Amino acid sequence: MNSLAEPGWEALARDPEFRALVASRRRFVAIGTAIYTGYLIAFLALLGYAKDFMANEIGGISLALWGGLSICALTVLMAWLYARRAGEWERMAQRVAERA
Amino acid sequence: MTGEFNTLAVAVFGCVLAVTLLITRWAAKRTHSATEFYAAGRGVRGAQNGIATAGDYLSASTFLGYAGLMYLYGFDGWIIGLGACLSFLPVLYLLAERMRNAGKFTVADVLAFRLKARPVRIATAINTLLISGIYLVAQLVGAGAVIEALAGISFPVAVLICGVFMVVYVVFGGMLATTWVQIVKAVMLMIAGTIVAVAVLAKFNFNPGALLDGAAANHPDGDAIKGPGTYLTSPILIISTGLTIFIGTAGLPHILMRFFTVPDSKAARTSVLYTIGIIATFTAMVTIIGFGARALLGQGATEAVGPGGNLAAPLLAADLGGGLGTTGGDIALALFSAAAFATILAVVAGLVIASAGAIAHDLWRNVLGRGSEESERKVARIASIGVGVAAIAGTLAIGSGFNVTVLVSMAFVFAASANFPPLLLALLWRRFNTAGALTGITFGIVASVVMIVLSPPVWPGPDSQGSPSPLTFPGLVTIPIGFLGCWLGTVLSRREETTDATYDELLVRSETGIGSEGGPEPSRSGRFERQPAPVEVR
Repeated sequence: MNSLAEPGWEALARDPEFRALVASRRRFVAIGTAIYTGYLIAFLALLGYAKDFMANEIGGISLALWGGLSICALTVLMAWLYARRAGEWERMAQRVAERA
Repeated sequence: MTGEFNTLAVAVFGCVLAVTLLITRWAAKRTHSATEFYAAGRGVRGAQNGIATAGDYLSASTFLGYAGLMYLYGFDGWIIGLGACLSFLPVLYLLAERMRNAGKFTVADVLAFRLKARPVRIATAINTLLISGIYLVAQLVGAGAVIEALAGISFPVAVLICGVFMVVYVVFGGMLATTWVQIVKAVMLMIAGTIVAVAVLAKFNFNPGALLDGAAANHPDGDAIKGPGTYLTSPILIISTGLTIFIGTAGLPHILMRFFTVPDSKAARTSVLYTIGIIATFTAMVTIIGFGARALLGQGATEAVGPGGNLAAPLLAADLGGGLGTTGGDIALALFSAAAFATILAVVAGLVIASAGAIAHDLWRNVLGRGSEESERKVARIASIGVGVAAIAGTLAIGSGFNVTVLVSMAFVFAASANFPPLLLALLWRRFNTAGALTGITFGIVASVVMIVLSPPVWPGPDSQGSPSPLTFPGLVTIPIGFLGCWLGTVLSRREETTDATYDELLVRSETGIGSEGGPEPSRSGRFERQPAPVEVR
């Protein structure tokens, strides 16, 4: 380890701003992960258990294919949402680090 | 496409090899220390690493394989690709930044941080070797078959050439050469894919509905190929396959290792954003190529595309150029093949580095406690050669006729069930301990082996009916077993004092990047400045 200045990890872990950072990020990550995982499982289940329904077409394209495209779109959307929040977490982490 | 010697394709293959060698020569001058060997000196930019990570994912089996599966089965061939596309979200949300902050060279570093280093490193290194080794052989089998068909070079020679080149990149150019070969390849692949996709759409006046109708008209199953159920025939099979790929991709060591190559967690995040942009585009685009191949090549090409449909995309390129045998068609085929060759070479190199890291960094240096940073690099090079030789021998032994689905399935199921659960829990669960990690890895591996042995490609004979488990990709069963093993092992064993105390440290490090390798270090004055990575090993 860096012997010059070993930060007090336990003290840092109890730092109110650090707690706020962890809480804010965990909340976002937990909700986000539940959404995209749930979406995938729901999509796969519809493909499996509602095969005929997913074969219906809108604009010449089956619901299954629209669903697949929505997975691509969801990936980009949720990545963008995460990136938008990440700057805020970074500033919080920076302030915690300055007190280390 | 029967594999007769194709001068133009061989010349293109030679050009690709020459370019990769130039990259390797350039990288070799910049690869001396262990950090440079495994992590390209942590000097790769976020955008560059993002493109290279997309390259790691876009192997021959994804790029050529997905288009081929869609040619053969329509929509169902796409499900695996969709699971993989979404899997970069857990990588972004849960792993990339935390791993960059807490790790050094390998996945085992993160686990060894707070658990008992020795047993956890052994287990994780074996797991990495299993996943990367099996995946490597699967890629080489596919590579040999594709090169044989496109260039007319015989299977053993093609495998030998690929194997020797991948070892050369890694031994001389390390992660830097591998990264740049990946970048070149990813760019070539996306350009080639975009041109083919646009050309296909142009044939149907940019009307996707007309393209789908054209594909359905040329398939014996007709309109059924636009919806689910032609390939993955039971609901449980669809769910299990999708989930295995979704979690498995996020647990592949050679992809996770890429996040150690960037300077800080912000660059790690930027990497995944670029990767997601490329892969989401690719995943949407591959439908046009897959259905386009069906619409334009028709049922008549079923034999020519090969058993897994791997040649559907190259044949489609030739058809768009004017057809096989015409000048335009041959040039289009050769150019498209260049992208395919680059793909094959780049992915196998990434797998060799991941395996060499497990052997040299985890087992030799940290478990056996041998040597120094300097000698570790030498051992890593020797390990790369060893891995390469073993992979070539393994590939030649099983031969071109082997059904690689079993191997690909094993790699993803191990990654999803035995690698992902302990890694995630080490980062997020305070109570998690050594016994939990070891139990989880063991449960994950044993469950995976059992379920694959009982699945259709293996039991009671190759590709047979009536096997006890219908799940070719058994993640639905094995991922929960992996997590269960982690939990059981943890709650049934005594609390580890050290594990508990180091959780705070890992938490602060992973969330803030304080004290990360090559990142900002607190100096005496309390201000932050960049310092060279500390050499001390935990």
